[in-house]
Amino acid sequence: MAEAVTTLLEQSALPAGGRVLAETLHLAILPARAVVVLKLGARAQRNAGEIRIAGRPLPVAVNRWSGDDPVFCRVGPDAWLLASAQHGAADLVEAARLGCRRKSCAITDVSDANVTLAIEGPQAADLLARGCGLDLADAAFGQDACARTRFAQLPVVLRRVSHERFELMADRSAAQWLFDWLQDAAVAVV
Amino acid sequence: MGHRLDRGGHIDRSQRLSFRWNGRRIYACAGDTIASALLAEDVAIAGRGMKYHRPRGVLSAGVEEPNALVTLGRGATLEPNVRATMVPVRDGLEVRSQNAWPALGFDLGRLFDLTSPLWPAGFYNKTFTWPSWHLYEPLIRRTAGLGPPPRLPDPSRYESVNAHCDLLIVGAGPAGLLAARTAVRAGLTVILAEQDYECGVELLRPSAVLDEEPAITWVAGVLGELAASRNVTVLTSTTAFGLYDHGTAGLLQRLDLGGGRRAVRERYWRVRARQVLLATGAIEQPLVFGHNDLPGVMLAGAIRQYVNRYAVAAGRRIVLATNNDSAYLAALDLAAAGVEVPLLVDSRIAAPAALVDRVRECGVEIVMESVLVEADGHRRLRGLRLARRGPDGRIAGAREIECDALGMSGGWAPAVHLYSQARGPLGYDETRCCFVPRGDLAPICAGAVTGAVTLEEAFADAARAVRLALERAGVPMSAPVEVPAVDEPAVSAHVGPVRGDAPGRRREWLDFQHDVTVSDVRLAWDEGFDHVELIKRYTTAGMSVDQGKTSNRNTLLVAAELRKERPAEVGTTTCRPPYTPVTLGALAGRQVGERYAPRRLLPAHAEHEAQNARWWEAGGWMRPACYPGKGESPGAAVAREAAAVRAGVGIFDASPLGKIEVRGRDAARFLDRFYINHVATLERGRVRYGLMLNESGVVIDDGTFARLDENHFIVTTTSGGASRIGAWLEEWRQCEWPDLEVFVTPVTTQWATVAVAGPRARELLSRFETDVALDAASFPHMALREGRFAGAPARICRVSFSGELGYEVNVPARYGAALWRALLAEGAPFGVVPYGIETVLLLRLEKGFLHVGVDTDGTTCPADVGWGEVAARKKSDFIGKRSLTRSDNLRGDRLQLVGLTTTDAAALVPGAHLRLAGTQAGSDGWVTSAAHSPALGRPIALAMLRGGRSRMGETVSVHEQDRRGAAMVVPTPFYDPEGRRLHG
Repeated sequence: MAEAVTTLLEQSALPAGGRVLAETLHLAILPARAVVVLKLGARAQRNAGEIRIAGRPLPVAVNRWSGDDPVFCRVGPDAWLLASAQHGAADLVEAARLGCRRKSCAITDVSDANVTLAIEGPQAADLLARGCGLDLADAAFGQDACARTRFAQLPVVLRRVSHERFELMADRSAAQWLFDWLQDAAVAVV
Repeated sequence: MGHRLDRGGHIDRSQRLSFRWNGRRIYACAGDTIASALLAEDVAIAGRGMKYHRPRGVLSAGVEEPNALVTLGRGATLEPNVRATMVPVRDGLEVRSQNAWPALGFDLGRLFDLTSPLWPAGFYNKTFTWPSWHLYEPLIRRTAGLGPPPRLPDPSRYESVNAHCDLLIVGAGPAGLLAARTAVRAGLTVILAEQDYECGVELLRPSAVLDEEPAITWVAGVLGELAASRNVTVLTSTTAFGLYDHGTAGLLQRLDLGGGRRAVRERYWRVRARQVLLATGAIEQPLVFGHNDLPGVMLAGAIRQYVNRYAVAAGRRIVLATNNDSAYLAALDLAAAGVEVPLLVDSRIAAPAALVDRVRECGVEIVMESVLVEADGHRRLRGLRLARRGPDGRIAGAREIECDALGMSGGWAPAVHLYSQARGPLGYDETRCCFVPRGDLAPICAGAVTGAVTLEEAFADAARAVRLALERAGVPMSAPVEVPAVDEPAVSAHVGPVRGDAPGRRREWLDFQHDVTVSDVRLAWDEGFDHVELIKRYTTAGMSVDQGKTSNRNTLLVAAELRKERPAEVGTTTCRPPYTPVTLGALAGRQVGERYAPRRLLPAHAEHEAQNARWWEAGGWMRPACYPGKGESPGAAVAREAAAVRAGVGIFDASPLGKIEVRGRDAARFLDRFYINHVATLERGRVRYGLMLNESGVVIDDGTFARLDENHFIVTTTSGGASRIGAWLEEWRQCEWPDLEVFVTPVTTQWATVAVAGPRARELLSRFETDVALDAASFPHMALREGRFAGAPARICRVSFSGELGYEVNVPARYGAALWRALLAEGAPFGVVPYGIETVLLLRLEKGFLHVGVDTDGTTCPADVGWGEVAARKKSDFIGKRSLTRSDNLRGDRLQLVGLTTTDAAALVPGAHLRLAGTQAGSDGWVTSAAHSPALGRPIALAMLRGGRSRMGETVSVHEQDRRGAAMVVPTPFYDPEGRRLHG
């Protein structure tokens, strides 16, 4: 009898890499990152400002993000996304567990469910306006803004990283379709 | 005769263009529209009336054009019903007339005109009732209508864009430009939309003077300032077609048609504006007299615009007829351009003396208190008959005059359409003879749309409006609005009679596009359709694609005359979107073809592709239906795969199966409220199958729920129901039971799921290193184990949708492709086969397992599918429980799920209807699922049958279109009814 199979190889939804759509518009698939959903009960939500994960506080305002790595996005009254390129999902889950000790909460690893695309350049907001109804002007969607919304019919989390850079976190199953959609939309933008 | 003037105009004479009009080459200048180019070439007939096919010429110079509707292009890019007045000429453009056969000049449809007494308003409601309207409808549709739709898929690119602004300004005429400049200077973000391809519109004429300079200089200055500002978007060739709640507006931008396949043809802007300012102007209305639809009869403002903007005179000898002052200004401009205007007919008693003097100084004869009676001519205007109105309004003397063009002005109707769409209140202005916006409710109106008749009034009103907008935006005005000084003759707003009291014998047309006359309105009135909304529907006045922009006001006046009421008492009809027609292409945008809906791929998509998967799109997922071998039909592949699963082992990619984590102290209580069976009693590590109902007791989904821990469940749903059920749970949690401590997290795509099914499934899984004990005693049917599988974290469920020993192996999606490859490789010695969704559906049919949404519909309750007792046994409450006791749900003759079997394969197809013995008509049910069972060697089906469960052994007739067969009602499962195999 042959040896038992001991290892399965990992495979990302899309290979990471950049695509220059124009000088003013870059599209990139970011390497797979750990993503964890943190949900807090009613009382814990009210005291969310007191919770520190990996030494940093959670953002209190809804639709705001904070941190560098890990990044914390408050995407709803009861929901935060914790994302990290440096830490693994298990570490992130553990850090969240420690931070939310004795709190009513649920911590779920969704790293494999998501893919993150970066859209960068002076025309990034123009491109995103093709698929998303949010007001992406600086005043309305600033550099600490994030939102769970619909983009090109898909549920996504949109985050503004800087004036000209946005990140779009979407379901991995639709990653290829979304990537093609963005490339096609860019034709009219550039 | 229409002709090009030697000088003037806002066109580039150095840039010669040409296009084809019904095959004839027409030359034009850059800046011309199709309409101006046709007029310059003396093309009198530009279209035919919809009903009577009467020849019609260009009436207007703008969006209101009812006659000159043309078809652009051909083949896949053909676009019908385009207003020739709105399309700039492009070199090589192909333009054709519509609704005429065999030719525009000789149209046999004119027979309808010659026999018009037979076809009055509402004729088809009275005439074509026997034997059926549908017998006549195709013929009527062919003879009456507009341009033909394209028959080929449109290859053009359309797109939609979302935009936000502080202030959306609709209209870039004098008021719109002033408001935009002021708002932009104040720091608001502004979108300025102009339906014309140039801004300024009214200010582009040479006679307009602002700040002692040609107005065009002022326009250029404003546009230059706007272009240099970062907080304004100026959109030309863009029509705001709809204004909805909360400042949401739909804009249609027409872009260059000649930009190639990659260029965008039209862009649909979804604008969300904090405030809307409407500077939509006013539309000149026709006068009502006999034969007022002859080619050559135009709106005076249009004639003026063709001269000023395009250097085109609509005729050699142009008479003007009016009931207001604006035609006097037209006379001045025409005279200044060297066009002969022998006569100006005014229905009023008096006009401003200074204006009269200036016009008379240009050699124009003015006759007051006179109205047009009839126009003369066959296919174009040859002359006019006019008469004098006595002090009592009666017609006195008559006079005739030769001319080849008439510019008529029956007053101006403010373009209140968007304001009305936004539910802004309207009031009738007796002086101006039109409806105007009332009050300062949002949206704000400015300029001619409020009834302003002079540039000075328009600018002053724009200043008021923009101040109001800034005030509402909380932006203080530090300086007064910079209003330009206007140098124009003073005019009054007074509007006189639109129609004489003793008309001639010829028909007086109200709606040029739908061929509605004064006598049609009178007929409607005579037959009791006396309300303006009824008159509209009976006569169809204002119901064509122009939505009555040049007919509604006059129809209203005639209705008021008949009712012997003032127009204000008669009221007006309701404006609804769209203001102008919108192409389906623009509404669809890029959401066509491959981008119609997101296409979701399995983690092992490439592996399935390599195995020659035949794809089936289900619930947005690209799923393998089956894996045909070389030369193998899909049907044969399904049969082979099913046989392999029954005999050995197969693997199926079940990743789209919905998965939802439910956690928290109240998780069990929470889920108990959704399922018809008990959740709280489920032991840790065990799985249970359940049905979910809606409040009406109708089955909405099925699936399993597993208990991972005391307060941790994983719920599975149908693949198509994954997001819907996730939202359903969340909605109840948030809205109805916020007191429960429970958290719902969808994780469908976090996990790749491979179903391993068949008598040798356990053997195959045993080939992998795992800490999960797979033996039957340790891991029974309907159990779940967590552990590691080939090095990856895994959740393995022992469940079966095939009726065989089955497992569902879940690993994080990143391992999905590797797991699939490894199972195929390790299963090779067992003869493992990949099987697709069609095979799954066959296997479950043999077992009689329910497929919600296929075997059920929007009326199916648990008892109908054999789960009534389970639901009845559950004492605690769940969604839909109360509805199950409704008398209708307890009827014994409800449609119930049964098995059918027969020897006639052709009869059992999904959708075939069933009749019980003795039933001669109607349907007693239908086949929901059917297939030829390889395991049983005969056709089998599931069906919803009236009182089905009490009819075991009975024969029913099966009706599928023209085919008829018979089948026997049998219990399910068809295969392995004792369920021994899945417990193996």
